[in-house]
Amino acid sequence: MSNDDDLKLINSCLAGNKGAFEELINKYQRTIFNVALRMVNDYDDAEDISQTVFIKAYNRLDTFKPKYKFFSWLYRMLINESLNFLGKKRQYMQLEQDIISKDMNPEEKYRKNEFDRNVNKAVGELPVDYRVVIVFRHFANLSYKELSYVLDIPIKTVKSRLYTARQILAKIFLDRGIKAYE
Amino acid sequence: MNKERCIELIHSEIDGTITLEEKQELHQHLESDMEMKQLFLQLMNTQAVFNQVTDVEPPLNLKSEILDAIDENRYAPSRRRNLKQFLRESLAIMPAPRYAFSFSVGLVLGAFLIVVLYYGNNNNLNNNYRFGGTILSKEALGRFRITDSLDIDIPDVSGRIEIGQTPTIVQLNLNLTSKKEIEFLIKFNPVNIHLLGFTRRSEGLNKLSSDDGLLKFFHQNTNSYTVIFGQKGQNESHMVFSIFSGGLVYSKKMIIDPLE
Repeated sequence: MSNDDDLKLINSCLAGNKGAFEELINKYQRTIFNVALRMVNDYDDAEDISQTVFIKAYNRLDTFKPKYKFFSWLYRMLINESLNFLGKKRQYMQLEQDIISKDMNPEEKYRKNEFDRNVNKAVGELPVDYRVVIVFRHFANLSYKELSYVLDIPIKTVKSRLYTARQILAKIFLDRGIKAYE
Repeated sequence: MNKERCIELIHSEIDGTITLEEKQELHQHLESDMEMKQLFLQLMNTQAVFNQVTDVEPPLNLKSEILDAIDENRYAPSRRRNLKQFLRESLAIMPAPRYAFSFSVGLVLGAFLIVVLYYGNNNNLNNNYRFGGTILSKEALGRFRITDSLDIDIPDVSGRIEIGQTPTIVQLNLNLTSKKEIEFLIKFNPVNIHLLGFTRRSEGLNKLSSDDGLLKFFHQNTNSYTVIFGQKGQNESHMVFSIFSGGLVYSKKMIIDPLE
């Protein structure tokens, strides 16, 4: 679905159609929740942040400017909420939820769970400035230009932070033996 | 190929933005540079690891909780119709609607004129802010909408900043509680934003000062402050809120998107 489709939904919502906002939630809730989860590393907190982002977006929908992309606008709120949350809650929290597909056998499930847990833990250990760049690049697939807009930093800084973040993570993965499996 | 160029190309390959020529150039170089080859393999592993991390299903009740929490009548056209109907009906039931309406408009304009005359001469900051009172300026008479908020929660200092906006005004409502004396700074771009006024709920520390693009004051215990800025143009701007207590202890940047 393109940004034009989003604009149609926004206009429909502003005309009083609540169902249009429901479609926007359907479209973005998965990414918003997953990015929030990687930022704060806690399932319940990620849920709270996702809720707050959508509620704020709804309440400010009439201030949205069509020259921007809706998802960029939404992600900007997500960043503000996540950083605000992290400012309040400095300690690192372990992601404990069992998030793996129910179709796997117990051994596969355990291995995959451990793998995800280790990766999330490593990402959670990155300094916030690096974490936010890597999470939005890899879990929201934002381009450098989009990252620059969403984070309000120059593209050059986006690249520099992303490169550093990847190199820090590469070293952590190497030290802990985290490898992509066959 | 120098190191910087090599690193740039490795990341381009990870991002899928590398051209065929660049890819050939990179891999030719990696054959003879073991340090870079090692880095390349590590970074490619990092990318592969990310590709294998499982996406988490959002909670099943997330959508319903959002929908339950939003005001479904916020953009309902019926509400706007009702306001129009109300005005129409109100005028209709008045004995002499035209005169009553003109009288009301005259009253409002008269009040507005008094405010403008009283404050119109005080265009600079020193005369425009008042402590312990309410700021009234011509520009501030609009209807504010809360567009963003920020909670502050650091050791010894807590509080909340709410940003209210009209198309030309940005109003900050600050509630601060601090055990120690702190210095609160607001930095802004003076090209887009200019300071109109400052007020506080109760007496206490102040030492308010302002410079081009900077407002600072001292705070202790609990107090509320209102800062009003004029906003020019349709370009977004930002404000940086910082707290000093024997050094910088808090800093947060907020984007201010102008309302249309």
